[in-house]
Amino acid sequence: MDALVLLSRCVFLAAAAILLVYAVRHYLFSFFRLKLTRPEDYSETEGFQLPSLSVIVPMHKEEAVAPDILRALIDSDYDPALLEILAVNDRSSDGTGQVIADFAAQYPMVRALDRLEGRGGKPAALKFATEHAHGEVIVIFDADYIPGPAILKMLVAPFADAQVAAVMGRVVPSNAHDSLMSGLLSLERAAGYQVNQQARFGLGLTPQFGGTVGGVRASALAAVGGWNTESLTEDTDLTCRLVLAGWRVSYVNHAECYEQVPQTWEVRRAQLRRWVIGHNECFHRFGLRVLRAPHLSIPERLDLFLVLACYWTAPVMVAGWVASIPLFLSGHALPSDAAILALLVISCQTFSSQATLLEMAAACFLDLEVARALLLPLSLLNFAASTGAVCSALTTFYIRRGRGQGFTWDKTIRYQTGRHANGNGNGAGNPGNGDAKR
Amino acid sequence: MVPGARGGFLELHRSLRATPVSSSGSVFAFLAAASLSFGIVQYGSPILQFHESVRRFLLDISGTLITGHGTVAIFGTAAVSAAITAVETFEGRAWLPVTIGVAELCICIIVGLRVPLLRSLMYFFALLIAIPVLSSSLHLSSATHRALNQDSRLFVYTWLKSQFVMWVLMPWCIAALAAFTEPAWWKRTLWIVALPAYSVIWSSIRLAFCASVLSVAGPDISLFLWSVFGIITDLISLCLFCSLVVYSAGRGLLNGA
Repeated sequence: MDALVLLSRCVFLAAAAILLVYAVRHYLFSFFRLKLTRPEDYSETEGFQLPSLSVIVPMHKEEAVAPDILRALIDSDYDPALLEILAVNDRSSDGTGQVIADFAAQYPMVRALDRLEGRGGKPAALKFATEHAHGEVIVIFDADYIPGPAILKMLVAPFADAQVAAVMGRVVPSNAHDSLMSGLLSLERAAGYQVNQQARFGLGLTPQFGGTVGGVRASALAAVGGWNTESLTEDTDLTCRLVLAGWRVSYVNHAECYEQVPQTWEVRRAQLRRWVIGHNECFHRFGLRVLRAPHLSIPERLDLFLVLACYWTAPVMVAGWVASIPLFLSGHALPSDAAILALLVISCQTFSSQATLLEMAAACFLDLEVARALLLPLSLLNFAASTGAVCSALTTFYIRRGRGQGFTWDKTIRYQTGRHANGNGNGAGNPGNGDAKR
Repeated sequence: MVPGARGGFLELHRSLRATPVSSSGSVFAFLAAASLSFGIVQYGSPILQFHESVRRFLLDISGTLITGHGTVAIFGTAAVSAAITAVETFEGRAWLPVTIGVAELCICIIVGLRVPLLRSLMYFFALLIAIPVLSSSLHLSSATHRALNQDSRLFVYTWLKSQFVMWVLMPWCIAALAAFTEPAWWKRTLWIVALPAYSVIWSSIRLAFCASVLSVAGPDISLFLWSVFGIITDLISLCLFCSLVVYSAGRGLLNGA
């Protein structure tokens, strides 16, 4: 019994220490972002010649949404002489190929690429399209996104800096009002981009290239070996390889694009599963290399390592809670005030991740999404559910890895079926902002 | 934003927005939080005494049997004589707590199966119920502190200690948000004071409720009560206050206040 209590106490305090590190990080990001009055937005870049640009849109059975994004890209204010739109019909069995062919016949800047066989998944489609791209910069959009007319210039501007290899824009849920799940995810997305990504960029750390609403310098992509078709999160994989090769990743907060977030927990769980497995693969592949990278500053190394390890916080929290059970039942939580303090740290992280909550609250405030702020208490539900799903996905990861089995790409279900209005963010109060499909 | 102007045109794009609070305003808020935390530590005993008097009042109303008193000392700075209530021991009816536990488990599992978003939470609750029930039904008395089975002493001690830590931390948690979002200094101060005040009163109500439940449902449910009505409820309160702070500050900005 004494051995169990000792073990529980060690696990408990170790979990508290790890979670405290993440909590401090989130607090710093929130404070920094709230005080950031003049973020670098590259809007005053002078003497920069727009590069030739290839926009890749991988489409697997996207008949319903393909016309919308192609039309939006054609309406872009980017110089048509410098722009090519590579619409990839990725093994679709519906009318996606026909839609693309119709656009390609009508608009010279649209190039129809048919990928009829081969490995499934977005990374394979991106690799295929990149082989046909001619642009100095490659920008990627998922098929259900609706880019505004100015976004391409916004995303390309940071490439004026020769050290920048990848750029990420802000993803804004457009269906936040459609279900409780999408409302909660809109809080999470706002915290992730408005606060977390912006703060990381502002603090000179590494924002994450997210694989959509983002661009990559073609020469840098080629130099690091192109897309990794084995990875479920080719975006995180590419971010790490670029940073380890000495390139920088930039974030443009005002380059907003709208997406449909999952509206049911089942869809969300499948999406989370893919992210967790892919992210964890990257953690194994790059974690130690990031910590040892001599050209990165210590804060950069630590932050990127914490990003790669972020899904491990879920099992750490669960371990901390489980360890607290014998401590409580045996009465060993009582004699030590330090144990209670540690328990509170774990508790805060477990059921609301208090520091993450602060990021969400800060994002709601900066976005002036005041009504959505009232959803904050319900974010505990999403948090608890995600903790379980992350633990389950990590278990799956290690079981399949142990058996030498691979992972398959699960495409996130689309909700979008027709054409809709779009705006490119003019701030809160504008119904087009994040609430386009109210 | 220019006072009196229509917001839609003159607000900054959200990617450029920052806090409307000056640095001195933030420092003021953090000083308020520090003062309040210090005050809670310094005047811990009267606060605990107030907490205890509210709880005692509620216990009297509910008719929960008080078996004695015990002194709880916290960090060597605060102490209170707390009422200790009876815990149902189910003597001669050992099957009853197991039956209650199984029924609770079934409820958690059914809710978890039917509501996907609640699944992880419900399974965690089921774990909190299952472990003590299994422990007592298998007569693993050495695994459980005997004080848990005698009365609510251990429960009350653990509750008061953890709540006291929460009261000290809460001004900081809310100040971290209010300091940067709420332009009006008096509102900032109000939020920083309101959360711990609310927490003290709310804690006494919850502890009285838990003591009453323990007196009829037995000690097997103590872990569940402490987790759900203790820590998790505190966090819900914190979330609620954070959302109210943002709502209030955001409305103020939108209205040009």
